[in-house]
Amino acid sequence: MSEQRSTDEGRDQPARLLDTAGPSARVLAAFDAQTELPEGDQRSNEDRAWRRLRQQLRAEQAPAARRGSGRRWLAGAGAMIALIAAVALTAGQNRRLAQPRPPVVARQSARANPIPLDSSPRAPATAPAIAPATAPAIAATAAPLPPLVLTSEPRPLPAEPVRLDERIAVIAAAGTRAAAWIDRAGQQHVDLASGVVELIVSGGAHPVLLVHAGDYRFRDRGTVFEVGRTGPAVWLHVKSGAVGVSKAGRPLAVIRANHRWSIGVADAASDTPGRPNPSHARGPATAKAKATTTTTTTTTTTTSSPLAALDVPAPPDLSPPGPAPAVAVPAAPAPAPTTPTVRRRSLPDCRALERQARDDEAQTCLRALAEGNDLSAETALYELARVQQESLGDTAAALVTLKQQRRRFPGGALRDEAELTTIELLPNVGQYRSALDLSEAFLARHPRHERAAELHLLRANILREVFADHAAAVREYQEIDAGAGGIADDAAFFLAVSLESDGRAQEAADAYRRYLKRGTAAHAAVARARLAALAR
Amino acid sequence: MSSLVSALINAPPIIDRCIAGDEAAWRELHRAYYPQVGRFLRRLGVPPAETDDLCQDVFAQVVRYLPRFEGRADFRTWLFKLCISQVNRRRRFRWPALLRLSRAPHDRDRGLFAINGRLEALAGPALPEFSQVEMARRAQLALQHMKPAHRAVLVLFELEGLSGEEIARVVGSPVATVWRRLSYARREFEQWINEGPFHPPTGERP
Repeated sequence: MSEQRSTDEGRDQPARLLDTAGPSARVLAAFDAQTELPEGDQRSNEDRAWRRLRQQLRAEQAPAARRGSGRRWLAGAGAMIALIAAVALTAGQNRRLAQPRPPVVARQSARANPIPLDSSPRAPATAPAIAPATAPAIAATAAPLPPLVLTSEPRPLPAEPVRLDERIAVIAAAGTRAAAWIDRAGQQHVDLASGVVELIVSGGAHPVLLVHAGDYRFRDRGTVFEVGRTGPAVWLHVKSGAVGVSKAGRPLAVIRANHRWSIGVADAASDTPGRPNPSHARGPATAKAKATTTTTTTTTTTTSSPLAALDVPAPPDLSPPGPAPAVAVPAAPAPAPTTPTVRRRSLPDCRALERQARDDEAQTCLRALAEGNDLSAETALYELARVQQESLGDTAAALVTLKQQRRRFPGGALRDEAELTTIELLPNVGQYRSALDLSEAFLARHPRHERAAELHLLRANILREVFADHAAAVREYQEIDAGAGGIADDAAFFLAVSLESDGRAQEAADAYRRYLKRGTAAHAAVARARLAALAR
Repeated sequence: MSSLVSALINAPPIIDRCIAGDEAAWRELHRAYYPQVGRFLRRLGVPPAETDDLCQDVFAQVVRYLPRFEGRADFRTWLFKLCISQVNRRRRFRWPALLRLSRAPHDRDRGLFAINGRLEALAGPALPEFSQVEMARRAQLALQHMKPAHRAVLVLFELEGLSGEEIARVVGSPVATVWRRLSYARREFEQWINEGPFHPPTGERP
């Protein structure tokens, strides 16, 4: 019914409520009038706000000079990190210059499969690296990078790392031939002719970047990834986030963090050049590639159906014994000496991203941390729920995350906190009954919990306001000790209200009187009015 | 005269001047849009005590991101988008030691409001006897109780007068979704206005 109405409304713009004469229009008009400030107030407020804004912007430009010692310490730490990153960057470049890329030699496989870098059963210990990660680690982005201003004309990527904009850093390995450009819609592109590029994309809405390597397209989803190309051989290594792979506009796969994808790279470095093509025996091939490496050249045929690159664990190799199939999979991470390690982010890193309003990245960061089984994983899940609720206003997602936390860590250190937060959020999505049930179970387990009074007040408010069960509300309010503070004040007042609503006038009058004797009676005026009404 | 016309035509728009670092242009921009931002934030339910801070946050974002504004959308809609984003970020103030239903000021108001509403109801038809202040408060409570996405659409359409297409650009949803949210938001709003907080508009019913 509502869907039908909304469809109808989609054709014609509905009339505005303010143009009608109903009670809603009057209420809305009253609210609208209240939101308008007098012109004089507006001018003075604006003037003051402008001065404050200028001060803030100046303070941001000169942070260390105006802030406290803690912030100066943080600034110092940031500078130190930048220095370390710069050293890492330089070291990475030196390594690249000093060590020529090893020849591409890879294990042969029937299909292109993304392989998890960790604990892959298909990764023999002796498998050589297909994708020598020649680009420096992500930490290198902490160093200021020169910008490369893009136009619609492709501009060659320089040998040193550059920034395409505030969110995209590109690091090309030595000898890489690649160009970057921007289209009319603002989409940025990197055309990779040969070599290896590492791309670090952060912040904002995605995708912001497309990498073209031959027939293949790699679309970022907020991530750090490398793309390599040697002739028709193309490989992808996703270090964080996710990357969509497509060919001729047809999506092939989504490759997630710590997975690789490749196609056409096997025989480029095979030690059996010119061997028969196994694809011919299996059926028609869909793509034919001539893979070339720095050392050997051979011809082979690859299968490149969409299934060939799905981001799922690889099935057992059912191909008959014989010559190796065409498509190779990088089955193991690059050897330690040549692979720069991507620093695993910590909880403070994720919080820093959140403070910088980089919510997508903060979520990705927290999700990555939450993959473990330790306290930091549990904390990351709780933090993820907090980000979803506070920064994104997505209560439903926060509840799902909290539920996941309670399921994964049933005896966790934050279990009670997760449960309390769930109870608190449930009324926001209208699940009052669930909030009552969960809080009842919690109070049964922890009758003397430090927040038991808050829980009783929450339950009482729900019972009174939502279910109009005043007798039950009275019982809940009576559970709260008559001490000082806002909770006790509310409880004492609404106890009287509930008694009155339950038809217990004499008890209500007594309760109002007791309430008025409190030192801090926030609802005193209403209580006196009700007491007078009851006396009549 | 012709030189004046020519100067007007050739004068770079204020946004271009801001991007170029013209401080007078920034001042002009701030003066022109500050009232709109403040009003929009108040309409979104930001308490008066927090409006100034949030305004400042919004304009700080404008300063940071204006170079990325491509002019494909109306500047005002872009500004509204920033406001909504900042309001969503602002909603963190009582996490994690909180139980909103019991602690949030508006819930305390809801309790009072409920009693006032009942008193009014005892006296006769409730709405006609409400003062402007009370009606405004009732509207504010209704808006506060809505989902943020519904509230944004309702405010943008009913109070800011944006079209469906403009709202779709602000909230980043298709136009059909905008109308659907508006439909829900109106229903919730009217339910609050007509029935009061003893009968929540959504969720379980006894």
